[in-house]
Amino acid sequence: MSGARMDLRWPADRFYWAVLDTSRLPATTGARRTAQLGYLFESVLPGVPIEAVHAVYERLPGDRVLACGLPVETVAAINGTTMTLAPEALPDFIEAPVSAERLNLLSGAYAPAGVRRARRVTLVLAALSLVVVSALVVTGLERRRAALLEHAAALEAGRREVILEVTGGSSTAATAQLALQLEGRRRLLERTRTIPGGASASIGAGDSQRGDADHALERLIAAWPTSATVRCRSIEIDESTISVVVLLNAMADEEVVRDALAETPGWTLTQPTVERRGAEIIATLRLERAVEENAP
Amino acid sequence: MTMRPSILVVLLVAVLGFGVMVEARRVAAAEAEVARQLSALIGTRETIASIERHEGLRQTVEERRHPENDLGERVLDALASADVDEARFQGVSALGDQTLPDAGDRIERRRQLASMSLDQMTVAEVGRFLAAWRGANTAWHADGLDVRHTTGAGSAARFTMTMRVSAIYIAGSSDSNAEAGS
Repeated sequence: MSGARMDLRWPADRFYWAVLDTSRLPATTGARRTAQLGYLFESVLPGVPIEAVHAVYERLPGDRVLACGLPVETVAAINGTTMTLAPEALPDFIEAPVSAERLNLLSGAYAPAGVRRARRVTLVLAALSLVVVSALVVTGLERRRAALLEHAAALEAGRREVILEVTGGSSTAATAQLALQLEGRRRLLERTRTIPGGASASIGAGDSQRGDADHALERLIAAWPTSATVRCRSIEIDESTISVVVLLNAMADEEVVRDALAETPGWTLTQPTVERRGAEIIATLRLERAVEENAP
Repeated sequence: MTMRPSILVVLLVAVLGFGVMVEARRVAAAEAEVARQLSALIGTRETIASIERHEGLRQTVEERRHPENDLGERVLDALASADVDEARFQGVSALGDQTLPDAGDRIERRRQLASMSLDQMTVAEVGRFLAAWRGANTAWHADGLDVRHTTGAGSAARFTMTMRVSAIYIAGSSDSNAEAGS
């Protein structure tokens, strides 16, 4: 005995002893291993069944195990205040690098009530700690999830607001539907607006002279003679030619008209024709689109 | 039958671990949702930027085929804008519809052709009308002009103006299909 804590040390000759050869035992652990060692130990016990012996085992080098046991009724009779029960020393016939202190027989089912209670309390506390930690982790994750979903909802609401500002669409429509409308608008604009070098710009390549008859008329009128009395009968403009028919007061005015219209930018005047029909002098002028020097 | 404490602990750890794992997966799904929404928002902003960029550009292609009535309204709008009497407008007639070669972008485009007539126009009115038309109908091109004197002389001279116009439009749009079927 030592202090308040009861530690029994009995002489080695009160114990059953054996060094077991475990080289042929299957590799098992836990209760099965203890049972296998018990059967090996039983074979060297002096007519005592292993069920009547409480044994502890200590691994030794080289597939050997040191077995140390006491009759069950002896162990069961130990006072409840005793904490450990071990041999004072190993018997002389056993040479093993094991301290006798390690061979505590008050273990397993015969562990002191206080030790068993302490183990249960420790286990319960550990389990409770695990539950609390898990609950905290789950709570934290759930809060993070809620914050993320709130953020996602805010992003979607912001996106929806931005789309509605542009499309002016119905506020009851789904965001995906609004986004589709927006995308449709973008695609339509891409197809219908000129981007230098883009597909829209390339449309009509080969007929670049098409569609500027209004500009041609503008240039023609800008070049129209002001120094002679010229009455316009007709002007016809197409992609490549301008035909002008005018009434003149005198044959000499033809030169004035010719000189003036020859200055029409982008157009080349060809030889005009003048004819007299009764009292009228009719001049027909034809202008052809000038070939651009840098044209392909 | 009583369970060994170690088995109970293992079971407890398994149950709690499963719960934590499920929650972690839910958080991962929420993170993915945030990433998806953020990506969608960025995409939307890029789309809007593209729209604003294109809206500042000149329209060269019509969004759909325009029926004659619509073209007539455009002429009337241009006349009003040019401060020219609407009575000058004689009418619009369709001249046909042409298929355009593929520009390499798999969009089917066609060219619609039409002709419009304006009567009793002065030279100044012709100029104002053409300017108004050009400003409001950038996708429409004046392919040909025929200006013929009718009455008067000098600044009082009146002319009949016939203008052939054309515009490219996207044939694949639902609008144009609906109109084609009507």
